[in-house]
Amino acid sequence: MIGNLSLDFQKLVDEHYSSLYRFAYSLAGNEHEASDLTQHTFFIYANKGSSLRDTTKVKSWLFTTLYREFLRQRRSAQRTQPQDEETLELSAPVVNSDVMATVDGASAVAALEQLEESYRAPIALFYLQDLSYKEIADVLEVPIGTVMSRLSRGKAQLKKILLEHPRTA
Amino acid sequence: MTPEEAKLILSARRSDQIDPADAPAQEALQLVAAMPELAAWWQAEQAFDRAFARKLASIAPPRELHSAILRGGATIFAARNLISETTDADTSDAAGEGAADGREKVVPFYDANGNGLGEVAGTRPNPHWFRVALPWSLAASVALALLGFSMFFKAQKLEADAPDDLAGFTQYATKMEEGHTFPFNHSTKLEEMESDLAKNQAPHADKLPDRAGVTEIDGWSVVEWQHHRATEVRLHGDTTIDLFILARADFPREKEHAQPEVKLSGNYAVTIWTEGPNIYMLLTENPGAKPTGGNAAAKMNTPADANAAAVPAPDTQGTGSSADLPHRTPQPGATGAGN
Repeated sequence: MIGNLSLDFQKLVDEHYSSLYRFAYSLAGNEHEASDLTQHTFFIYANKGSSLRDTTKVKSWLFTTLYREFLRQRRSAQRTQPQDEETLELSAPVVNSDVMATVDGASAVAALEQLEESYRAPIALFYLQDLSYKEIADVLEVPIGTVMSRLSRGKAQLKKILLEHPRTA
Repeated sequence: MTPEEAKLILSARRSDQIDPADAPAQEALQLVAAMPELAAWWQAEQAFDRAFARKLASIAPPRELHSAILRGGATIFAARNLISETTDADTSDAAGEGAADGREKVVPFYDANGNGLGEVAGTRPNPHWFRVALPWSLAASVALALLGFSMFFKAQKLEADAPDDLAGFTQYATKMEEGHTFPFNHSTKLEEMESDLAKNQAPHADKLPDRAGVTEIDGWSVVEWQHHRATEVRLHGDTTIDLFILARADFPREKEHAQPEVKLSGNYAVTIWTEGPNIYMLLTENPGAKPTGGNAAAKMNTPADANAAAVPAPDTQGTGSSADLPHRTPQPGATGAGN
């Protein structure tokens, strides 16, 4: 029994811990917090996840749990509220390959950190390529239309940030 | 469809994952094919998406994260397995029947010296005993007497009579958990705990061990026992999980436990391992058992316990309510000296 549980758990960790960590890192912006969030998510699964009815949804479940934990911790840290999305203009500059060549992983995450909080999670999930836009909507518990809007606006903002500060972003 | 609508739709799609059945995306792609300016936009958008995704993919998790997660998971599963084994098939072993069904279950009951009280063959600990008013069956009575012998001890007598070894501390800790509360510093701040423990010369470590399977705390206290000092950390979780930290130097005859060893003690699964200068003892409450001694309300160490809000877990489509994870909303840490 425990052998099966452990093996399944190990398989789950092998399959998802990297992308979960990257998601956590894109949200938290630092290795320590990202590691904690990732570990905590798997420990919640170890305690409770075996009761998950639909095992095909385990990936979404993991990302959702991690995102919830991130929000819970942020609430206690009392981050500033995101701006009203309506006030942000949707402009989409072009970022060419020369600019992208100067961007590495760390500066990509730094750019994500500068995004409005409501854009950061959907953009990170989109670029991690693990989830479709519908699954992103499930994880973030927002309507599909909202995800699409945030992706569109978030990308525009991301490009502006990269253009303005490609290396230090 | 307007070009702006097409951009909005295609922004949310990855170019290599557009489903032929995705009608809005297909319509947007038709417009892209018909409008050179939109086509240029789409080409640039895909190039950016690919490049940025590659940048994020280059972020590697810390090397030790994978093994840390597995160690924590192993501890959790070991404790859960032990708990589920002892409560397995209870529905077929109604109160009053004992274990007359031929299925022998050897349950390890330990005395203060860590010796098995036996192989109480033919019986098993039955959580129903904690729910019904009186044990009716002889088998239940015998087992209850064995349990009750230790469960109704006073803490002081336990401490006085328990040998000065790890088994003795285990007995003391589990019995104290059932009937009493340790005075607590109610704080979730790890750095505050480290500072307090260092000041009180209580065993501690730089961080919570991975094997604890938890990364957050609800509080801690310093426990005095048999001229030793131990640390108790209440770990954040849905059930009571306490991590005791003891100094190996205080138990020189205790062997090394490089791998976690799990056993049942009273209402708890006890997991022990050694790491560095410390011995760690994780007490995981058996959710199927109820404490028989003391006041259950005394287990409400923090306001969070009494007002625990069950926050439904993400109910992703198809998972249903069985994936609900009630978890405590941490209360603002209120530090204070122990009682």
